[in-house]
Amino acid sequence: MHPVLVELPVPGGTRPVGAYGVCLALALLVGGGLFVRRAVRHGLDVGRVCAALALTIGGALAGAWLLFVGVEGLRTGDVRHAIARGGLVFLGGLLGGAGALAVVARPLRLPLGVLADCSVPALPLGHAIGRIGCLLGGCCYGAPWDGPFAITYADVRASAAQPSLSRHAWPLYESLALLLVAGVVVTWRAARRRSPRDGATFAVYAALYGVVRVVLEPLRGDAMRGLVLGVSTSQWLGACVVLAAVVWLARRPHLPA
Amino acid sequence: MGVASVLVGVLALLMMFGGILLAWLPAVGSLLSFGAPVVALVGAVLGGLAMSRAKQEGGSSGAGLAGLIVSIVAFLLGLVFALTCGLCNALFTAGVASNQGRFRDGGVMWRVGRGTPPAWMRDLDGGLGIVPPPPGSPPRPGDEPVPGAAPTDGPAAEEPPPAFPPPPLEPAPAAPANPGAPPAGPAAVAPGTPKPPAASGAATPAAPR
Repeated sequence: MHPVLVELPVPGGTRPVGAYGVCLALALLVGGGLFVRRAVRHGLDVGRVCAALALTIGGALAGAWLLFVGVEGLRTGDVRHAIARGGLVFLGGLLGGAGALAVVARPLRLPLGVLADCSVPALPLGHAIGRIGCLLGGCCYGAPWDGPFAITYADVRASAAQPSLSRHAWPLYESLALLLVAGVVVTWRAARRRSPRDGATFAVYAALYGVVRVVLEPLRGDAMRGLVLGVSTSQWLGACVVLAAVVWLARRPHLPA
Repeated sequence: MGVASVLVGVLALLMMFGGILLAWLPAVGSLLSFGAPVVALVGAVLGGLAMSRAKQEGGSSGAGLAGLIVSIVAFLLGLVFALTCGLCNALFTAGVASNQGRFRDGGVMWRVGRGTPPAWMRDLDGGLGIVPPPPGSPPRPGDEPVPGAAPTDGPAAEEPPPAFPPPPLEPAPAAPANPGAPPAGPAAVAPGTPKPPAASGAATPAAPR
């Protein structure tokens, strides 16, 4: 694929522009824009919503990075190199972002449940765009596979090209699954006769995404998977997310806001 | 608060440009590259709050809006470069990589630093043995000699360090030995294969999972 989209000429050489970074920025732009638009439609103050979004993104990036460093540090026993190497885990971002939003919503006088619901479909759509960055960058990739939809990375700068094998197009699978999740949640919300309880839309999304992650994870091929009892940390976290969302929905599924 | 958000947004932009230009400086490049998005987020928060306050007080929200827009632009651009220049600089700073080689176009090749690659780097190849093991370490299942990899039974410091990212699987014939030449250069890259990263690297993007 194309881990480096373009190289910018600067004094003394060139600077690469990575496909993953571009797609992540595009994902945050599209997702953030949809989130703010939806929140404004709910009558929330645009300035405070933007402030909450910025803090949430900060929390999400911090959570994604911390989970990577934690898992990688535990796996290799070398936190220093985990820090130097760097990486992001989406589920850490989901938890970090949700935590940051929960913390900042009250001081900003914003309803947490409404904000959480406004993140759907922005969150899965942005995530789907980010996974295209993974596909282009070859930084996370599928297990060796020579069946339908198999892809082969030829660019030696991609981890997936070391060695260059025919693989599952895993990021593409998850991207398509996320689009499906977004469609299902939006349809579910539109089909209800009365508005679901605040936060229920987000809970449905979280449950569906957790299922997607648990199901698709075995098709991944990158070695940087922290394993606990033979199951990857992302599968454990995905299962926990599903459980928490289902329990939350089962408690008071139909109460209005 | 609106003016402050503009200033913070501009500071983030300056940090981003500084990170791009100073990517070769250990620690400084990472600090600027990764600091720019963080500062930009602070600017966005200030801009949003300034807009909200202006709306409540019936004043103009122009400065807050400007700060918000500048900060958003700085954040998005800063994120792009943090995940390329900043990441490579972090590897450089930690001694994992070094910029030893040069290409014909003047670009600098990033390499694994002299000495033994850390254990975690061996896992980058999915356990397929592309990254050489430390001297004296027991062979892993499936370990095979790989073109360009350092031998396992000799001192790693005497051999040219393996390229980062690892070299193509089918490299061109090795360049003639020349003690005065750089460890590897354009001849080490097979014709037709994409060249390794230039300047600040962007070898392997951050590992999203």
